[in-house]
Amino acid sequence: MQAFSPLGEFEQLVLLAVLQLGDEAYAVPVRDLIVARAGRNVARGALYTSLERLEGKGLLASRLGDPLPERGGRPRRYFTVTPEGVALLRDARAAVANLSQGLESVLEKP
Amino acid sequence: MTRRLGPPPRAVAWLERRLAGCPWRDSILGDLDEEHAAITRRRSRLAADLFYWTQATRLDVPGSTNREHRTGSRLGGSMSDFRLAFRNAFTHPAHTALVVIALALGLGLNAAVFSMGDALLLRPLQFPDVDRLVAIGHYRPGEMDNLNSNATPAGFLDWKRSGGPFDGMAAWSDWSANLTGGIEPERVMASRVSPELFEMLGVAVPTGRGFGETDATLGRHRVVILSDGLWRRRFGADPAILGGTVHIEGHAYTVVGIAPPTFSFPQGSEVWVPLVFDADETAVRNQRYLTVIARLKEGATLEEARAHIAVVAANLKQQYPLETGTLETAVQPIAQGLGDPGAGSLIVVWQISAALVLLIACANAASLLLARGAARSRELAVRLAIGASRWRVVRQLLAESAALAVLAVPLSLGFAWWMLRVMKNAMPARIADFIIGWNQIDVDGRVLLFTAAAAAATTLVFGLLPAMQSSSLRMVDTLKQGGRGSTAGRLRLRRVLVTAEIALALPLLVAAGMTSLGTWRFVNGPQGYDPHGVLAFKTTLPEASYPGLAERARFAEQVVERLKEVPGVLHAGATNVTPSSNSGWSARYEIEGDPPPATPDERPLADYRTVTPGYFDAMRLPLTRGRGFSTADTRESLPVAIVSESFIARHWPGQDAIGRRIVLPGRERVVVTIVGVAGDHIHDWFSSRERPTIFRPASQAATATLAFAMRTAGDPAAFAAGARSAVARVDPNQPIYQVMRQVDQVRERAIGPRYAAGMMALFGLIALILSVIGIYALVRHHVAQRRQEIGVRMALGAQARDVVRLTVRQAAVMAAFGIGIGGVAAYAVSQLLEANLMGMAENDPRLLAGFSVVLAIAALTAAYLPARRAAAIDPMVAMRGE
Repeated sequence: MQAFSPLGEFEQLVLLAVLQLGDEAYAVPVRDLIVARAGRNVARGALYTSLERLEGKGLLASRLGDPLPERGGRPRRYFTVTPEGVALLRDARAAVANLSQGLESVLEKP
Repeated sequence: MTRRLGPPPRAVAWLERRLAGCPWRDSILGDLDEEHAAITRRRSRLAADLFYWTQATRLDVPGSTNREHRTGSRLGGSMSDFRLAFRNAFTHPAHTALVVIALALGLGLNAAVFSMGDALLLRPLQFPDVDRLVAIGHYRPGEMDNLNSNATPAGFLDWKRSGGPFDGMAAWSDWSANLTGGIEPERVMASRVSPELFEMLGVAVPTGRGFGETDATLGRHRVVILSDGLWRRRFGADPAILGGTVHIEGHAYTVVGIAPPTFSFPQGSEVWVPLVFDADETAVRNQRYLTVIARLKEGATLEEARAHIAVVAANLKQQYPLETGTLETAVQPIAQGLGDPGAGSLIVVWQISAALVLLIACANAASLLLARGAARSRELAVRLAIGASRWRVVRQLLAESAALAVLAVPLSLGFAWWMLRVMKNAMPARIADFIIGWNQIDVDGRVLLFTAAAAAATTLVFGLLPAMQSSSLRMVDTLKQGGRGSTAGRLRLRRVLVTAEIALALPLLVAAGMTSLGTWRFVNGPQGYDPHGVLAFKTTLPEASYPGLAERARFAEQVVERLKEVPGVLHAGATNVTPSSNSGWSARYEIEGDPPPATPDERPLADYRTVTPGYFDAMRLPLTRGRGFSTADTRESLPVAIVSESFIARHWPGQDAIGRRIVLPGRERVVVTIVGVAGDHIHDWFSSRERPTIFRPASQAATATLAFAMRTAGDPAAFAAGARSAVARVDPNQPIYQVMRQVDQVRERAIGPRYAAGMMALFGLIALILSVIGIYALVRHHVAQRRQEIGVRMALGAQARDVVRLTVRQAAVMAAFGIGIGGVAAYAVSQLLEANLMGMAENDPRLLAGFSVVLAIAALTAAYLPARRAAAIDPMVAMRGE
């Protein structure tokens, strides 16, 4: 058991968004999704920094797509969550779930 | 619709450069491209472009930022340094305000002095192609280097004829003239100018015409160009004046043109007439009264002009060895040749002093930053510990210093603007007209640039030391000591800085004291006569109506009689030059019986005054021996003279001079007999304090320019109207000017020294304030740091008195060192000032002693206040508090 989760809250959001988007997970929709679902305003720089860090930790993998004319001939960088990433997400979710037990009356929306 | 709506290409290029080296560059650019297209579709092209530009300038992405944080080598990161620095500045408003005010005072002083130097020295004249204009003139070896009114008519004509690398050459002579007709007569500044002068200066005459070649021929030269101001003031801007007649010095002149509104060159002229020479004048080689300027041909250099004029001058010297005598010829850039020779050294002294004040401000800022550094040492140590390079931390701290300097710049410019305004308002317009470039003194783009540069240099001076100190690598100690680490070194450095402030302030204060004392003596010290209760005024008799000595003498006598009839006037007299007036009159002479000198130039020189009998009484100028002049001294009687004590001291020290005879060569050689001796008086504090003076009776030697002095019962200023009507009763066409109290005349004469003293006093005051702030901030900070220690001491039985003594003693040591070092510097400065500002600065050992005491008291008081707070600490609270 680890002392602290190596995942920051924002990192969790990024990983979840990448999972949600599946094959279409590149920076633009990842950001849009976090903005839309989590209600956060996300600076692009912060997102790229986070993506890079997650890739550095081995929780994300990325590949380049084909150059696209509507992007000025530039490729998209698609992300996928690695098994390690999924495992950490699970741990984090379990930790939250365990600690939330019995608090439904406080935490659930009325 | 196939037009591709890509993002703005310049933003793309910019971003590409910023992201160079970032491995994700292409995909990030692609993302932004895509978003740009989406926003264009959803909202508008403009919104999309705005979005893209915002990202291009603000996007921090991995690769660029990360690399930057790791190595600290990229310059692009400075922007974020600055942003952080400004944020930091505003989170500590009190600290920021202290530093910014100190810097603004220092920078503002420098900006103001630079503005003056720029206007008066660097580019006093603003004409098109001014770089091609040169001044040509004569000088005697060893004379002050100014070419104003220093060319002879024959010299000018010879230079002009010689061709050489010049496009044109023009001369003028300063003049002032009586303007009569219509409303009351008026004395105006005027110039006789070569017809080509306006064209050479690139000045067009907007109304009427300029001068042409024919205007410069004798007989056709009675034409005049009026200044715009005069035209409006006296002629109601009536265009019909063109072709009309005005009376100048009793002659009728035809108005041919009106000068452009702000033009008043040279010397604040309101009237320009053509310069013409009669046959005698063209041969004059020993009287210098013309100012000559020339325009260099395109591409010609100053050196070529100098070489050419040197050859011409050498030839002339061979041709006319007697007339030219020891006169040499010089060519200078116009700004240098016509600038004020005295202003140069004064402004240099000011700029050096201002730089010293800035240095004090820097020391102050550095000291305050060190204090902040102490409070932040934990933060910095953490940064260093987690891998920031020292250079990276230094850069951040320098950025913070730069942010403070940037905040100080606008404040300093406001301060400079205010100072210049005060100075300009205090300068009488009459004098301002004579100072070439004075009206251009202002805060302009050049001053802004100078201040920005000074601020940048300042940043390095005050920022580097604290930055190096705060980023030194003793971080482990710091962390271990709970953030109070490396205070000892920092404190030592701050003590050195504050000591340096005191050491710099003392010489400035002494210099301020010296110039103030000099000026005070100048204005209020003994003048040799009594300037109080005297009204003086001038008038100049035109040759047309007063052609000879007899007419002039009669006019003077009649006016004196009328003045005496004015109720309340006790005495009245006339002279050619009143003391402290801006004109002078000197004459060469020989002592009868002494061997004549080899050349006329070697004859001794004395101030020369012609006076009516009542003048000595009006001025209370004492006669020490012999008799004064009386109505018995007439044109027909024995030519007589009164000489001053210093004249006696020069030739016959300790002997009786009454009855001895002086030869006054000149157009008519006169031999005069000394009948009396007068006390010395001060005409000019700088150059003729006790100049040997020869007085002649006006009846035997009246001049065309007359100055009257009347001793009055009550305020002399109340007698101006009486003076005016007295003159009008003798000649209604005769204007009087410079009607002023004699004490005001003396005060106005001292305007230069008064400015100098005022400036120096300001320097000294600011230096004093800054060093007091420095000590106060240091002691206060020190006390705050040592709260716990003080608490322990008090708990162990130390009395409040001991705590105060302990704290104040440190300030006393700093003050003692500062005053010791500063005293040596002040002594050197006083010697320098005395040597360079002759008579303007008066040394007095009490000044150094007095200001040392003032500084010491100020320092101890500044230390005492926080010390008392320290003594009031409750030991229990202090020891509990972490």
